[in-house]
Amino acid sequence: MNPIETEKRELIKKIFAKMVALINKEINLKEFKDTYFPDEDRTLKMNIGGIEDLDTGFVFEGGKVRTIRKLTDEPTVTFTMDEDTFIRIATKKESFSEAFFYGELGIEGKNYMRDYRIFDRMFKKYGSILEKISN
Amino acid sequence: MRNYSHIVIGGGPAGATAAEHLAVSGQKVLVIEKSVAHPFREKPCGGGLGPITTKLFPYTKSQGVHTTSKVAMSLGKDRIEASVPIVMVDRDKFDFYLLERAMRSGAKVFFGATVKSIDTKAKLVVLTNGQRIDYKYLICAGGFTCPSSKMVEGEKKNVPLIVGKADGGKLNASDTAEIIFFEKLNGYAWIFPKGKFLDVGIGGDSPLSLQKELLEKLLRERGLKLYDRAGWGLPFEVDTIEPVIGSGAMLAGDAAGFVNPATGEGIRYAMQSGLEAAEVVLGKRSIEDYPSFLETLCRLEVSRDKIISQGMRKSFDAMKANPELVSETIGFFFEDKEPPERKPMSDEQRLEAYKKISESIPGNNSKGEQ
Repeated sequence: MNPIETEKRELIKKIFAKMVALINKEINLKEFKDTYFPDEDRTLKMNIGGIEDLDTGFVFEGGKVRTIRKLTDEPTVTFTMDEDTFIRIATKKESFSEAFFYGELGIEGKNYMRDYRIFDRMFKKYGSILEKISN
Repeated sequence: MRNYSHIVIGGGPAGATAAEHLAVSGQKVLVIEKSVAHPFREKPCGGGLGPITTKLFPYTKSQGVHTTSKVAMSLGKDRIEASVPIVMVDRDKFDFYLLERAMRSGAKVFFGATVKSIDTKAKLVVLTNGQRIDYKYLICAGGFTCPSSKMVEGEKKNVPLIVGKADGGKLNASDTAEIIFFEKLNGYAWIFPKGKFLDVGIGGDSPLSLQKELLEKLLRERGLKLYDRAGWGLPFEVDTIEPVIGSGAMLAGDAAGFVNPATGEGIRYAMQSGLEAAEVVLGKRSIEDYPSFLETLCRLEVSRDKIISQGMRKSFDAMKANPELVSETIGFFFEDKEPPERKPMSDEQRLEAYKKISESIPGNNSKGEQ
């Protein structure tokens, strides 16, 4: 693996870990769970093209969030996108809806729209952070 | 017979527009139209002129029998509305109006005449009555059944349409043009208010039997009864488009397949291609740049296929979740707005982006697990 790839993968792991810490700190996850999925846990798996093996995604369980363990966690919804789409969404250059509409974001799952709305709202909560990144 | 410099096959929107512009420029032009003048043929069609059509050809507004200001798109019980002005026309009257404009400008029209053969090497058109007419330039605009259309290699895909009229009472003068999607149909149905009646139809790249079933269901649900029912076909694949069929001979309108592959809108592309074909003849436009909207059609076809591949329900849900996307979608499909540019990033650019994202998120966690 070339040095750029190695560094990139480390950064992605770090981004997801920091996101998890931030969500746990900033969101009242109990309220979030009671509002959107009171009787169940939700697991978002993100398959980013070329780095599908990385544990990218979130598991909401017991009023907390953690990064996904793809080998063992069963996703309730799976987002599939390439790296550029992930970067555009993370830097607020594109919304989930836009990526979804233009076919750049694949979404699979039994109640995919419900999960989509949950995660869309969650990421919108961090709009101010993401805006700072894109500016 | 050498009284005409140029021949236009077909007196619909593409042919009439081409003939008018050639005649206005002092060219001797003959239109060969298979219909008689009275009554002029009817074209089964939704007959809605979108914002680009009325902008490019402002005189078309005068032919509106009704104008709607909103488009409502529905799928099942879900409904989305957007502001899009549409001028509704009666196709038979509208087409004859365009042809009259051409005649008033000096174009000659042979009504009730049909083409037997076209020889692009000899630059000769032979009519079924045996008449032989030579030309300098030939514009073939006889619709998707035009014999010239079959001269282009490659299989053209035509999708079926069922069109009719219905009495909707007060809805006849509604301010909203309705587009109805179905999860199973690769296309849509429409209900367009025309002032004194509703124009109702369905079309798409799905079996005709399915379209009939869905249309009957829609009519039952809305309490509508269809009359003047007709079937038609619409060219729907951009990749077979080749507008040049020989020296000095071009296709225009439906004959060339110039139809919006996402919305099925054809009048605008017919009129624009007629105008641009005339510009080629007059030396004002390069044949390389004919038609100017070909790239747009290709882009729309790609987007249509993407939407279909992910399912109409998902695309609809995406629009419902983000109201801004509705206007973007309308702009994209109805107003020629460019989609967002997507240039692939280099590895270095991606690395920089990841660094920036990581640095911007507060916190010190450097491990990949929480």
